[in-house]
Amino acid sequence: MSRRLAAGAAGAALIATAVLAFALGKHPVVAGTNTAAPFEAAVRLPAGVRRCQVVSRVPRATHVRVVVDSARGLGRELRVAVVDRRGRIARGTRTRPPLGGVVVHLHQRTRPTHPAKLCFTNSGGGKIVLAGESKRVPRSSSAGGRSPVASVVFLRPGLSSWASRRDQIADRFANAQPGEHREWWLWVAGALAITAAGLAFWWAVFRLEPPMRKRPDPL
Amino acid sequence: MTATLKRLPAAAWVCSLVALLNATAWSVIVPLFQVPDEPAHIAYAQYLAESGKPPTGRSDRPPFSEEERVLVNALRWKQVSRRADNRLPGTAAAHRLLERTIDSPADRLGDGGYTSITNNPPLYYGLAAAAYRVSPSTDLPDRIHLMRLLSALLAAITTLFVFLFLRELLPATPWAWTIGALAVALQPLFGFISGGVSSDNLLYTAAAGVFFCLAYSFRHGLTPNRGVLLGALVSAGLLAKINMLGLLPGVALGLLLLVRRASPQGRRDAIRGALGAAAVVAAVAIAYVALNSPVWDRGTFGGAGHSLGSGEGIYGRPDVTETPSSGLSGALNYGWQFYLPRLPFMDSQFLRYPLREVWFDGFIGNFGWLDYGFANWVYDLALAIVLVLVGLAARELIARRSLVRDRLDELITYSALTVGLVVLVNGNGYTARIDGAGGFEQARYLLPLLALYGAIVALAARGAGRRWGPALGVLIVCIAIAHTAVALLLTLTRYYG
Repeated sequence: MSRRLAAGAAGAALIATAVLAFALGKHPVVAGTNTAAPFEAAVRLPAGVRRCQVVSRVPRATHVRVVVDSARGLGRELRVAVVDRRGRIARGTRTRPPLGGVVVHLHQRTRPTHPAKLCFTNSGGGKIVLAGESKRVPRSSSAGGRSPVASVVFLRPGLSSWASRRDQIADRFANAQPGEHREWWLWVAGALAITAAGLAFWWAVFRLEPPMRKRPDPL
Repeated sequence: MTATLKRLPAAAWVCSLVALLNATAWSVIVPLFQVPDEPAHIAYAQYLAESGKPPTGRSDRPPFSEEERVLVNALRWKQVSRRADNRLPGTAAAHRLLERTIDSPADRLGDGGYTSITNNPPLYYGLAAAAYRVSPSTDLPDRIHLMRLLSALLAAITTLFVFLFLRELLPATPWAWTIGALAVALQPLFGFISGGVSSDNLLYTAAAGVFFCLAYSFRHGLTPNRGVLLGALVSAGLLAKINMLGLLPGVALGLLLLVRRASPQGRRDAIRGALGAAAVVAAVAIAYVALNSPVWDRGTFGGAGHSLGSGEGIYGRPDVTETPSSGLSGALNYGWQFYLPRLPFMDSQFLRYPLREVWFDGFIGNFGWLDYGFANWVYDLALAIVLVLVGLAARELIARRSLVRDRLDELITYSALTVGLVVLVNGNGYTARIDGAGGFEQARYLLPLLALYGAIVALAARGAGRRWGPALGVLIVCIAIAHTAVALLLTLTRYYG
């Protein structure tokens, strides 16, 4: 029993650490996306080439995250510019972007606007390919009105933890549930999960049958 | 066996209750339609509930009812699923729109058109349709939640079967049964799927029941009643999802071995049991085929005009480097790389290494429409923990190799069940790839082997020895709790953060 208690104490500390680390860990906050997922190689940027795509809505953001599907050449440089009807809102540059998610810092915060254009340029050498997907784009010249669109995520300034955004999460959860008493559903889910975990923990620590000692011990 | 079920220890009910509560929590948190293929499963169940027969699956007809289609659109399913950075609409205006959508009159009877799950037999959907019908509310979201509750109940029964299986497998170590069953009850991928409307849930229940029934028969002998129960469980699995076919060779081998090892006095009973199992499966299969084509206007086995395992309607993240050829070499090439490292002379079939990234990482946690999971270091840590557990389980088997040798028939049967399922999933993936579908490979297809997962955990705890085994078991349960708690939080922030 004492060993199980010690294991239970260590386990409880482990559970608390995992939950707190997740809830208090800092991460960028997504302000909005262009709803394109990084499924495939979408926008190819050889040296000096500029490609633009329409964004229906630009939120207030200080960073843009794209996904680099492939990259070649040491001198490559990814430039991002957000442009609306009145001209350029913000721009940013990332030298030698690696593969995977790449965050480009914009030189100034974007103002909310719609629609706008997002332009990518490889101002260095080599080649950069951004991941995205084929989407229906208004006035697209390609067959079926679909064009390759790079996946873009707009990020807010600074980092924040999930714990600090709990009210926003609770609000969004409530608004996404149809029906009455929707604000209670999150608490119901929490209570169910905590009861399940508590029951499993209590049974394992305090009610686990002791190992049998006198019986033969077949497998 | 009835007496056995009546004398169940309290721990069995506790494990089952933990699974029920956990799956219900998942069902509340995961937004509607965000469990893989859930829109299609709901369409099937709704069509069955409204028309009294399964959908024909014709390609020229829309698959969803008007009611489901407008709800899917109101919840912005297309924008949210498979797009990890997109959240559910969460403003008050979006909520009002959702309410208006639900209150607006819309046709509930669809046209029964083709989806990726039309080929599934109708047993799970029949149960889901019953839940749909008994719902006091006629709003589709409420009915979906009731169908999800059915899945949670099936998760509880699955866990109960796993507990019973472990009781037969490790009769001298009662505490290990609880550890193994709790590890299953708290497994996040199992909880996630059990929180959704999916025929996989009945398949998991039936498969766990088959493992229990075989283990019981290996320990106590095969009798006609046990054979009929085994046949009924196999039939339930077959009528839930065709993936149950993968377990059939293992079941057949198990029955043969049970007959072979029966004592001379018990051989007649064992033969009658095996024949009973086969007769039940054959009768159910014939009845299904007899209804499916002539009465329900579907194909011989599946929906109309689509081969079993067809990739049509499957949408996943394309991770294939090239479509495998439809010849034998293409099948072998794909089949090898499905689970094992590519050999130098083979054409690359995957962008990723499936054994690690699809099967292992997926089992640890790849949720939604395969669009979110843990940070990479979590999978590395999980790999280290799993290696330790597998090592302890192997140590236990080696230490008791003489006993293992005595139960070799049983071990061979479980291995055959595993190989059969693995080969079937491989074949389904290959067929889907040839049809041009990507992203078929998912760890949930291996969850019919949950009983063996529980067995490995229980054996690992036993492998720590009599003094430390229960303490290690407690630690394993705590790790499982932490794992599932973070998975639930991750899900909450993925959709609402």
